[in-house]
Amino acid sequence: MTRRLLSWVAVATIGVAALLYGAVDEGAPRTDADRAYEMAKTIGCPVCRGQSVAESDATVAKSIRASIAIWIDEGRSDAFIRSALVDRFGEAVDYTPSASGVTALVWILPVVGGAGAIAGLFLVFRRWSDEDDLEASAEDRAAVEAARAAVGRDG
Amino acid sequence: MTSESTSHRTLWIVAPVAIVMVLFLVLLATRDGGGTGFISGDIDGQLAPPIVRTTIDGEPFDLDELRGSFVVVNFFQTSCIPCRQEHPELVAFQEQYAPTGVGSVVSIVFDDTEANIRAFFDEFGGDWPIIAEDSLPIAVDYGVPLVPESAIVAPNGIVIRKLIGGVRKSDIEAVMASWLAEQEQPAGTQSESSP
Repeated sequence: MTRRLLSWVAVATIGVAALLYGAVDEGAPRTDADRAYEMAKTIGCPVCRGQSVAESDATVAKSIRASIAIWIDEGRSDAFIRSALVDRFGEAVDYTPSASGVTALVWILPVVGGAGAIAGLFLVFRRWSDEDDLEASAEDRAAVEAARAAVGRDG
Repeated sequence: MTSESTSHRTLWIVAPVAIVMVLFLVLLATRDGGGTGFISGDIDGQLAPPIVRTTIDGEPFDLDELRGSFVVVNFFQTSCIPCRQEHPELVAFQEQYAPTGVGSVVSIVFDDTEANIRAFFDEFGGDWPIIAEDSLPIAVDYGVPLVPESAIVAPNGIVIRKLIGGVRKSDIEAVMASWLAEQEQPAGTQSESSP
């Protein structure tokens, strides 16, 4: 039982470490150009469908990329740049959903769903584990013996 | 294990997943779909973003120096058909109002070459400042995603209205007249675009 528990702990540790590495290890952008590109990836092109300004060749996307570069050069914060673009082109260009109102569900539901899935898996595995530990009752043993005897008699 | 307990367990696993998926679908169905149409920034009533550049003729240009008169900040591209259609209207506006200092036009080029711009003005006429140098950030400052668009700037430097699409001289004049009428209203009854 202890060995099994240890293996589960090891699996959980590796899983959590992998998730943390994937989520955190992006690091800060190394240069202003990196920062501008990272920002452009999270701003939607106002005249394109489903393309960020980093991906689009539309003139307005070029314009926004140029403005982002200028603002970064001026030392503006990411929040300022995002807010300025939302002011000019609307909330829809912000690909980082806000954490309030209905949009907050985008953040909440995956967490709730993930926690539910983990809890479900835990319950299922524990039930399966309990089933593995079942021992035959005296009645079960008697039934098996009776069956063996019957087979031996027929054979 | 009975089939009843199996289906009970399945229900406990499937139901939460189904609920989460339904909530996602509801969210996707009810949220405002981004990128389904172009969004033009609303800067009406705001101080006109500064435009300090050099024109394609090498002349310095500063929008602030035009305070005291109306300015039509026109965003255009030579290949854009509505831009070609509206151009005679801008020419007529400039010819009527620039000589008296009432109003004038400035063109902000939306990603085009100097050769194209010169050919365009040679063909369609028009004599006013044309900004092509670093013009794209100006379009962002004015919230312009597509051309043509024109921001009508009042003599006090406030953007009265941004006209999306091709403009007519009469549209510009109506905006100017409306603003002038507001200035004649008693204090306290003016809109936010007033000084």
